[in-house]
Amino acid sequence: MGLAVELNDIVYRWRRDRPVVLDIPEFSVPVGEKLFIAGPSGSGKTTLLNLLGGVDLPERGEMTILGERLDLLSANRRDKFRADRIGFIFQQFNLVPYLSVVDNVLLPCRFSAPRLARASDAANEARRLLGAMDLPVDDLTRRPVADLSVGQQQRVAAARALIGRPDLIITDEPTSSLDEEARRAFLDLLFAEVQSAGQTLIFVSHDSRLADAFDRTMALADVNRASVLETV
Amino acid sequence: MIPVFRLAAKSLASRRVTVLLTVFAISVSVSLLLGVERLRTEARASFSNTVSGTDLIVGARSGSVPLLLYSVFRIGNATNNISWRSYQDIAANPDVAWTIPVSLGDSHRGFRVLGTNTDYFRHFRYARTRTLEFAAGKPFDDVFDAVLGAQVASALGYNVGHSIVIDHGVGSVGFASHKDKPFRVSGILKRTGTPVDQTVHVSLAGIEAIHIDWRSGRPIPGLSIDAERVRRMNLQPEAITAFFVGLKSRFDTFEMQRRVNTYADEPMLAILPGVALHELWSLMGTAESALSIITIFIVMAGLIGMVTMLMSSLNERRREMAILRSVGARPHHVFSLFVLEAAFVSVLGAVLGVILLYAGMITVLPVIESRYGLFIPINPLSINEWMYLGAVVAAGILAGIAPAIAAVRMSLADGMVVRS
Ligand SMILES: Nc1ncnc2c1ncn2[C@@H]1O[C@H](COP(=O)(O)OP(=O)(O)OP(=O)(O)O)[C@@H](O)[C@H]1O
Ligand SMILES: [Mg+2]
Repeated sequence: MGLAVELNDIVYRWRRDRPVVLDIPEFSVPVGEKLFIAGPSGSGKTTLLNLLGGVDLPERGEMTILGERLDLLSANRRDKFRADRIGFIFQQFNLVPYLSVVDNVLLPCRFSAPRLARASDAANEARRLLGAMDLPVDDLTRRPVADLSVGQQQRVAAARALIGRPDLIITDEPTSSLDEEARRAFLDLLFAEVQSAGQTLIFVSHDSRLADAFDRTMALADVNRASVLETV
Repeated sequence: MIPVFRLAAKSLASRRVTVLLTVFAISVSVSLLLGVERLRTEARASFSNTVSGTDLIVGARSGSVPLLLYSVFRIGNATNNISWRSYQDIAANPDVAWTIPVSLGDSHRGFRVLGTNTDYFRHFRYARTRTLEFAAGKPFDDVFDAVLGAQVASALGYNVGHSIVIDHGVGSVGFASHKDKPFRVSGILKRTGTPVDQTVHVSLAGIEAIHIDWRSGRPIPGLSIDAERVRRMNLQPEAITAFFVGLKSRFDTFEMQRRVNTYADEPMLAILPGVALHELWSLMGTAESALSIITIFIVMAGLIGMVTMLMSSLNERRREMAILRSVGARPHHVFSLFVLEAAFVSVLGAVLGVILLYAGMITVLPVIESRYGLFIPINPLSINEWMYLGAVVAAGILAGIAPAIAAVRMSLADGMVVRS
């Protein structure tokens, strides 16, 4: 089985005058794995996801994602790579407030032709995914996203990350604002979809109570030699 | 571009209230800009239409602008009159085709009274070639007949046959009046869009008749001559205020002007109406361009308001930018999102501005017409005005570049680390 993510000798800091946030000698994720990365607040989890998504580049090191050497690509190519092959879910406020639920789910298809093509009938696929996420589709489409509960918003965000079957799903504490029950339900729905599409899932959280449901659990500190843990 | 187009429209729609206020500010400035431009060009046109076909205007020696002002625009007063004899002498010159004598100095309820003869209705031209026409009645015939300009008749509600009293002088109403010798309206002229509309025309004999028992601005005590007796008296005026001259050949204009200006028996001044109009207009030129510059600054203020709106929304939209970046929006998408929002706002502002302009014209123009006799037609947008609108939209789009660059920088610095 190939590797979805492979990092070698990565060093990253936000600005030259800031401390090194990430110093990762080696880190890899096999294709199809569901990986849980734990780490306290400020340890650099979001920063790592920023790199994996090709939003920014490390100042040193090799970074191969889904077979592409991201560190060798131009900013423009990285943007396109992200649009076509990666789905993101953030902690909260995932949705564009002025778009409808369905339009939010369809957003990746508007910026990526391959994802639009893979979704074939995009509007229908959006509805299917919303249904799979256990959302009352017909009831939701016309409502402004602000009317949704936080748990519902996160499930809409999941449908958006999944549409057009990107190879890698990256989630940044998507459940931290949900209660215990909603958290479990969210994970079950997400897993079911990821499993059936054969996608790789990287899930970061500071809350390791969820870890047992994943294929593998890892502490960021285990792979990251830098520790800046700034207390706010 | 197409996804961003939809995004821009929906994002603006979600911020309706602030967006509409911004659009409104721009539209007010646009309508002001267009309105001032329109007033300028229309005023200039109707200005140069006030008198046509007249080769020279002759009056007592003063400046060419004052002579034009009182003889054509009925503004101000002549400092001196010219004698009937000098007028007769020049009018008899073989190069002269026609003359119109005018005698000013009285008024009727704020409208100037002009004494003249029936040549006025035959030879006076305005708006290049148009002649005076009657809406009702006919030229004055009797000593106490009066012909009203269209505005006088409509403002005071007069019809043919109405009796009117002429006030002495041009000061406020009721100062002193020629009550003993009322005039009868014999005719009403069609609207011309010139000062003629605000003029009461009577014969020179009529002017003479009402002053026959007056000396230096007041009735002579003990002397009162009634209207019937006046009719039988010699009503030949001794002096007039000015006269209009039409020549047989235009080529003689300068020769004739020189002859009047060097006339030995009496100091007189002959002016070419076109030249004097131009001179008068350029006197107003500074105020006119100051007005234009002010309206341009007002448009700029409107656009700055839009930039402020976009800039101040940046912070609350950080998360939106991060989400868009995460689903694959490139920096150029973020850039065009903001520029498009600026473009939408400017275009809406321009469209609403045009609507306001026409709404304004429909309500304000009748007032201007009744108060100043300036008739401004409601025409479709001119090429010039389209160019102004284009310039406003272009300036709006250019102004949108600043917040767009700020948004791109912000989203690049933030990456996907969405912090609220
Ligand atoms: N946009 C940024 N510019 C500069 N520094 C940043 C930026 N984002 C994060 N940092 C810094 O990088 C370090 C790691 O932050 P990061 O957000 O990756 O932590 P985290 O593990 O995701 O924390 P949390 O669990 O609170 O989300 C922190 O010291 C933070 O101050
Ligand atoms: Mg984080």
